Amino acid sequence: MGITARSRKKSLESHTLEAYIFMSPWLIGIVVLGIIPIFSSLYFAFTDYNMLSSPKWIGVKNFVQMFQDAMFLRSLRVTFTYVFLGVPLSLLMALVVALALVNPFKTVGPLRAIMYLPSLLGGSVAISVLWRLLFTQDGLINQMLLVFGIHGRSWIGDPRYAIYTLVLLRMWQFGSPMLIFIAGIKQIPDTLYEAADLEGAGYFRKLVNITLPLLSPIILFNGIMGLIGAFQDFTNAYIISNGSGGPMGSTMFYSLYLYQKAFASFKMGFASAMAWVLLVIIAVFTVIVFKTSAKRVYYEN
Amino acid sequence: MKRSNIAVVLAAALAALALAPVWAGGGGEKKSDGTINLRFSWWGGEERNVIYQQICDRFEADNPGIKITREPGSWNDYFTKLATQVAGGGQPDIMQMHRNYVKMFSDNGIFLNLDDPSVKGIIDWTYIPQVAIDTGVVDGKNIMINIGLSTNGIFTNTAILKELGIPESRLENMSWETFEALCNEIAQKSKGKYYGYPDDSFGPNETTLSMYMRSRGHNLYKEDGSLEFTKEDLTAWLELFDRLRKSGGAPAATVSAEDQGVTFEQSLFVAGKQAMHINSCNRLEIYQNLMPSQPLILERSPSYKGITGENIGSANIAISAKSRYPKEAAKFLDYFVNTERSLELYLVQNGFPANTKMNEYVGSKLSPSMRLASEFMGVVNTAKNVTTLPAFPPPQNSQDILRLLGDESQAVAFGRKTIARAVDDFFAAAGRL
Repeated sequence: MGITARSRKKSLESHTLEAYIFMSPWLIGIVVLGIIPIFSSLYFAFTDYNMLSSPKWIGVKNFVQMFQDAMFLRSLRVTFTYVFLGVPLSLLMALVVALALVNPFKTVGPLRAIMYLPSLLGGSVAISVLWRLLFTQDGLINQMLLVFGIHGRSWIGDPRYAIYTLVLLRMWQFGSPMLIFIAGIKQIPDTLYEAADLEGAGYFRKLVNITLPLLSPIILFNGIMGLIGAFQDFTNAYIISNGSGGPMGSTMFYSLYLYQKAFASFKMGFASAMAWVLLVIIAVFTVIVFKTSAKRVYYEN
Repeated sequence: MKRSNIAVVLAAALAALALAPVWAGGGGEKKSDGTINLRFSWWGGEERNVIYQQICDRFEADNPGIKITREPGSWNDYFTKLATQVAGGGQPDIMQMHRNYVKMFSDNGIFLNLDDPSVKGIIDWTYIPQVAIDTGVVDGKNIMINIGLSTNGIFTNTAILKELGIPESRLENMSWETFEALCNEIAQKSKGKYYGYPDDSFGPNETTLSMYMRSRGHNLYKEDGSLEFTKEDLTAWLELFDRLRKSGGAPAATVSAEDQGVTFEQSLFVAGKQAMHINSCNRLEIYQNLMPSQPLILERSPSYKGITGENIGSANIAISAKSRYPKEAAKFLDYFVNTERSLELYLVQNGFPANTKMNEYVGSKLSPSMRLASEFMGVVNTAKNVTTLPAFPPPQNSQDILRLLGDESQAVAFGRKTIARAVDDFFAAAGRL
């Protein structure tokens, strides 16, 4: 029997039900675990809700309270410090390592894998515990400094320095952007470099005038992804401060304070409001980065 | 079967699988063979888990037809998990409970009143004194059974005192002044090798804080949840630890910050770097086992004008108001606190049994350090100069208040704020909570 256009259309339609049923695990997942919680949290943001009794509508009180809360403001400051130091530094690190590892040599494969490893491990609890041990008063870092006659301090116990140990941990996880940079650098046509060679350009001239401009969309991409990720970092600060965000709130990441409010103080309404404020903050900074970079990013087409 | 039909069946099975977790949960189910299943959650360490598991095993063996599903947890996230379970309507049938957290749950009617007709006569209260029953009464309802009474004492490492040539008699009848002098002496004589006492203002340590305030005649909270201690009390408290930090009697702020982040097995006290700290007396055994070469003793809390602020604390167990099998759950509670079968394993896990007969029974089985704790309990119990704990538990937001106080205390410890400023800021912020 030949298949006419009409019967083919019919057979396609008759399979839509099965298609939906097959998709249903995913559909149910996105609705039950995604869409419903997202919109409930928007509702909770305007309520007083402790998880146990039913939410009470209180309007924008949570938002007003938030900006009178000294610890909230400190968590903003800590998070901004972390993001605006950690993201550029880890990008720089990724770029430098990518430039070193882009040209093939004998052990480049394993070396790239090793360099990527921290990205896989960095967010884990074990590494955070290790980090803690490295930077305590009697930690490995201070023992190494002692060899050079320097008496280190407790880096994680001092509110002036604790945040920088976290920035360092962020820097150390340069693997993913590094891989993307390597792929990006390889995309740059060789002809440009050959032409530059003929003109007698040196390594840095080529780097500044060819590699970086052509890589700029990738740098922007990595920057934005890093920005979004860093704003939401949690595990490192949680483990290193034992959940307290201390000493003196110096490692109180935004997400950590949100967690404390939600699951230690059971102020779900306040925590939901914080989550939405974070969304707005991330959106604003993403837009700012896009707008300010528009002239500096070079797209070939 | 047509191919498309097979596809529909397969897809439906997949969908059912995806939905399954949504329907799971909820307490108290009856299996097809008639076995009743009860869920029991508690907090504790590895050692407690082993003991509780054994008690559950014995209960199941002695009560055929009832199974206990065990849900152990750690103190740090126990109440978070429980609140999440309650929010989803899936709390366990039987829950270990703590006075400091009971309010937020009881305010929402989560617990079964143990005097309810549905469970009447199942729990034997004959040998449980009224003071112990009262530890489980919240807003006039008897909602938790006592699973152990304890009091706090100053754990003291006698090896350090001996090394420094300080007689143990210096620990007796301490006032906060002589206590401070002792801490300073320990620091000076050891040339900074040992601390006297931890900086309990740093966290703060709720036990020391409430003892200090009560010795000055004030509880932490009034019944309406507002603060009872005054600015003068708090100033004196912060000044005490400020002096101790400066003299070396207590660790410097950065050291405290590190000590906060470790488990008690790695703490300065267990490491033998600190002569004293405060803890529940029934935990002496655990500490002594961790530091076998350093004999520990228990001493009473320092006093203010002759009054000490100790109290009899307790851990409790409650039954969910939603449990489908409250009778069986009550039976488990009775078994847990009133039978030798259970107490033989339990001993003084969360404190000394409230049931006077069981306390006698357990008394014959105690190790030397448990006996020391037991004698200490007796001393505190019969002491005349002890304040009593208020009959109502702390308010819902007590953990927030403590965190707030910790922030201000740390600002003082790190030299960012004067004590006067920190005290004012704390009271202002606590008022806004």
